[in-house]
Amino acid sequence: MKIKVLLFARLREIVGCEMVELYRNEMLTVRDVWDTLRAQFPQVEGFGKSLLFCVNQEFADLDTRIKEGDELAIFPPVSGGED
Amino acid sequence: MRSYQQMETGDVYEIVRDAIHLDLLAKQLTQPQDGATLIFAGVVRNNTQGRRTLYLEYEGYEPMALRKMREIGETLKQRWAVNQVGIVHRLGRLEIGETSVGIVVTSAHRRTAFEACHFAIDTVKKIVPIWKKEFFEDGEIWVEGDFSQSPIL
Repeated sequence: MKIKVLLFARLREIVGCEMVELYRNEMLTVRDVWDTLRAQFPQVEGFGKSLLFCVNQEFADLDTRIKEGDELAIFPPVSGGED
Repeated sequence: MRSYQQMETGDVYEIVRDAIHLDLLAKQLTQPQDGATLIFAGVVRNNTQGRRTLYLEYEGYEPMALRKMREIGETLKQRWAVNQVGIVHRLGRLEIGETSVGIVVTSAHRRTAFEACHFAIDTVKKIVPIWKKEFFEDGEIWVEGDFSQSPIL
């Protein structure tokens, strides 16, 4: 199974590209995709607790189910700013 | 000068790479039944906690950003008696003093417009996937939000 993952901001810089294609026999949830990404790009380790995950342009979590062809995106929290 | 593309509802949601013209947007959105046109401009500040900023770069996940901007506009119209909403965000390199995000809310009365616009900018900062990188004389940093704030409306 192949999944395309879009990366943004600091995560994009750390991995070194804005889109990665991940391959694994089976990826059922966002967690499987994240585990695959971590295995391939160990430099993202330690980032995990402060990342947001999206499936088809909607916020998701690690347990969200995915299927082939879904658009995944992973990125840091958006830029916030003080009130 | 170009005009902003209005949706069927009359509202405007755009991501641009050049200057945001809030005067134009406000004029386009204001209708005879409005008594208040609230205009908010988020601008590039020359420092962060005293450290001198040279310029900023904004990056976005454009299709999702537009979708979230529309969602915010729809929420505004559900919760407040606002007539028209315009949200425009700029990406790319921005210099000090330039507008990075512009919001226009029109309403029959000012209190409604103030409250709705305040909610709109706070929510843009929370759920619209756009990031800024700040460039200083001696380095650069990504400005990241607070993860504990839920991105769900």
